[in-house]
Amino acid sequence: MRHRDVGDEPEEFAEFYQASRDGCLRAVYASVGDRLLAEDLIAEAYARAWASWWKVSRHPAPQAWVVRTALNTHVSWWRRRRREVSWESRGSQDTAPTAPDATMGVDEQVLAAVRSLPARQREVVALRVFLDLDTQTTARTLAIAPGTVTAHLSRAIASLRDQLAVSVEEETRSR
Amino acid sequence: MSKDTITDDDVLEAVARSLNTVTMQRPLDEIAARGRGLRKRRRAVTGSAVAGVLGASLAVVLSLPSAGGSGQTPSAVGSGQTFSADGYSVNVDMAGWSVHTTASSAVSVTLHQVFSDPAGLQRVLEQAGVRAVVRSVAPNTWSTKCPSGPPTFELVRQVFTVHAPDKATGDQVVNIDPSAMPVGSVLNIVVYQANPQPAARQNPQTLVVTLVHGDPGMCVLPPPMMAHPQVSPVSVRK
Repeated sequence: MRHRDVGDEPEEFAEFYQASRDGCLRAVYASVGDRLLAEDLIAEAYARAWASWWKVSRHPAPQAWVVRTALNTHVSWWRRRRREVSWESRGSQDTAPTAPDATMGVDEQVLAAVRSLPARQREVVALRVFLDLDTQTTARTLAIAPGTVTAHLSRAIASLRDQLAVSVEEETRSR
Repeated sequence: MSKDTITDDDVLEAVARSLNTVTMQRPLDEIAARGRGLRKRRRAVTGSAVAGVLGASLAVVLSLPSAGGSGQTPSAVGSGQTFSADGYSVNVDMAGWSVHTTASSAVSVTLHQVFSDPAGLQRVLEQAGVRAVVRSVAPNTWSTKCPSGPPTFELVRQVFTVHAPDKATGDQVVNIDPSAMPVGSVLNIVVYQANPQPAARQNPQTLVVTLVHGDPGMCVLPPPMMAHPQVSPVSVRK
């Protein structure tokens, strides 16, 4: 495996970034439900991958490492922001307005259905759908057993199917 | 379509399709700049643990390709411009400014009394892991088009400190911790040139630094009333 740098940027990293960035963003977006936040989280995770590329490039699924890191970062940012807000002042607007085009073209109903899933099920769906990971790799990434992945995926699909069916019925009725 | 006719593949395909239009817009340069800061911090921590022994072995000095590559040729002073062999410690002394990194990964920027070559400073700061937009503007020129958001003073305190100008030399020092900069944030460094009018001698070169999220565009906050650097409220989303 090469570790030659172009400038001071790992050459392989650039290729990895180009190839995986959209899938990683979608996976995190599906989990956190905020497009701009997802982009910040993914950018931070890629920056960490850049800084440790020699290690991350050996990961069985580096894109899964990025998504996992982004979701972990989300938790720590949320905790830190909670402290900052209480330290600073009450009533500060900690929700930034969403850019007008941030959700353009997104199927909000499906996204809402995904977001209603329990966290673990959501992560399994995100890794399987947006990163196209197999059961084994998903299991390794989430540090759970392959059988657990299958069970989570099965429950998630059942739940999503129910919600999508309701949406379709409502749409049909409103026509 | 009823629940029974929706297959597993239909469900997964609908999920995939739902975010088809979502694409990552961040340029690689931005990711790399942040990564560089993180790596530098980690190396600084590692370096201090081994009592600087490695530092000595990396003391090969490379020359900096023209810091004023935009057509200007800034004059170097002192030891000129150097990067250490690992490419992450920066020591650049120019006529209008200096940039030095420290073992603790901080970046120290000194603006000399007569500031020049903001574009060169911006490039060298990027090499040091600091995303910044640096501009030199005429006195009494400012634009109100600035990003807005809740001030997070705690964050600004972590990211940079602006020191009062040195009384003897007029130099102004800004200390920056690139690793504390949230991803997507940019330091907006604006230097108001000294007012050449004799009646305005009390308006020397003035520095305004803000931390913004994303491109600051033409954001130039009004200069402080007194000849003293201003630490403006930060504007960083979330």
